[in-house]
Amino acid sequence: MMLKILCISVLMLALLTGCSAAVTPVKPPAGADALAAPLDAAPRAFAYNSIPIEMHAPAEPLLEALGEPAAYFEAASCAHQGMDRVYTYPDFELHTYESDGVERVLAVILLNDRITTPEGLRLSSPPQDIQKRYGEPSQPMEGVYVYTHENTRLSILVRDNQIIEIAYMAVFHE
Amino acid sequence: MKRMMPQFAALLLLLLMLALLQQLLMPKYMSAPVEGAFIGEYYGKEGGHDVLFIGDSEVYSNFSPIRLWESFGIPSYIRGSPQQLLWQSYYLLEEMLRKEEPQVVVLNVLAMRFSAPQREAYNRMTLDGMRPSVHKWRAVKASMLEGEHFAEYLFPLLRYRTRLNELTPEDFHYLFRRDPVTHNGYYMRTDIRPALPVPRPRPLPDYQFGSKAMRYLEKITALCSDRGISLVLIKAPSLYPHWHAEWDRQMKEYADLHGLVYINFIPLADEIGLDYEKDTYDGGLHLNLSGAEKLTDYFGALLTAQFSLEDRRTDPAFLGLWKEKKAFYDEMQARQVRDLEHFGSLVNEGAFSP
Repeated sequence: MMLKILCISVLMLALLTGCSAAVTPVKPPAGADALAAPLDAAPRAFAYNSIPIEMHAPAEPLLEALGEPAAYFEAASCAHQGMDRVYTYPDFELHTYESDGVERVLAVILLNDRITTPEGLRLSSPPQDIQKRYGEPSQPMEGVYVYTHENTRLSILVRDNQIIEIAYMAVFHE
Repeated sequence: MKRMMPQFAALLLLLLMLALLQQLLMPKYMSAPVEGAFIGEYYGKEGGHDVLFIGDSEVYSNFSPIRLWESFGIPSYIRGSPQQLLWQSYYLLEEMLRKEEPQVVVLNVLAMRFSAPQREAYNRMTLDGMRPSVHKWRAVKASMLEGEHFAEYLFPLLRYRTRLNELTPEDFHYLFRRDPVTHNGYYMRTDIRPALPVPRPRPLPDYQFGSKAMRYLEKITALCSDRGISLVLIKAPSLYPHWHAEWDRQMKEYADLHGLVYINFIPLADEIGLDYEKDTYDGGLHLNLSGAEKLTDYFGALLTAQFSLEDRRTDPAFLGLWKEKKAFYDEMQARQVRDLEHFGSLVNEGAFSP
């Protein structure tokens, strides 16, 4: 009987140490949060001066192509391991995150009217242009038009009948 | 009955082995990230605190209980943890009030921006450190994300079993004990990383605080009110993440409605004497020791003026204990300064190495 119980104990211990995703302690807070979103068809990848800037793409070659930013900021990420970084260029902000030691594109925020989305939308465009160019949003929400395609979410904020932000964000599929 | 004794003994042995295995596999947080050790460090120190701080990294990095004691004779404790959420703050406070009779509770309100659970790793750093209690189980239920399971908090072995392949000497060294890494909850950092220009604040589609955050703020308010404790709401001085004017307005309105003190320290940085070239260890997100002591001196003066807090520096019941705390504080400060001189950075993020 004792031998039976001992065998069961060993078996249970072996089962308990089976495979599963580990909880990895992370370095704590502050920084931009990345948000997951459902999939849908939509916007083309953003490009700046013919340089395509795709979400989750490695940032190093982009940073080289884009040249010296006007400003740089970094903070320990609260959404990912490693650092969140913000590179500010004259016309847009590039946000990056770290994954397995590789810096990748997290978001692009348009800063002024000098640039447009590939579909021609700019910050001074009338809000009525949004649905003309992109159709029905993926997620209905007051004051925000969200269009998602694969790993990219285009988010357009409207307030007082004006577009106040156009942002591309990386979609994370947990 | 005699015949069943061997079975009971075997079962007991099995349970002991599982408990030991669980103890071995759970992260010890004695090396980076040490922040996971903060919540558990409170046990054994319960009681005798006139001021309790609760909240996220903006409390445990920015206020020094040792300085508050030295300058004003106010015994205090910071029960902070990384990205501590309002519901976690509530249950932690509820737990603390079983053995504490503070006059003032200080709550940092940055967490009001979160009205939903965020990340399992941060949940774990707050919740795994709590001893089993009804407060813990309620905190777990309020905190779990989709995909998390209550049983894995009840029996952490179920969650950490894969660490068997990742064990380090630290896991064996700290099997039955922990070294202190904070000073009554204060995380000391003497290093300096000057502030960088922060990105412009991004507009939000909706600035209204979520219902869950508001509900737990109201519970904290009621809990303090029922016990005759003064609740002070604060927003610690920080350059990032951005604290929107609309959030500040909501906090002022809430405080006015409930007769509470709310202090936003961000615009008071000059008055406090903060220099973001020297008083921060991470570019303006959190204060280092120099900044924390300035802020503590400033806040201590406010607390003393506003509330009838006794100066206990001549009370023999407190002297011995706080003398020991001060000695440890000075020892860690000296060690960190030496590390910075020798290595250019802190070893083990400031905590004593395992």
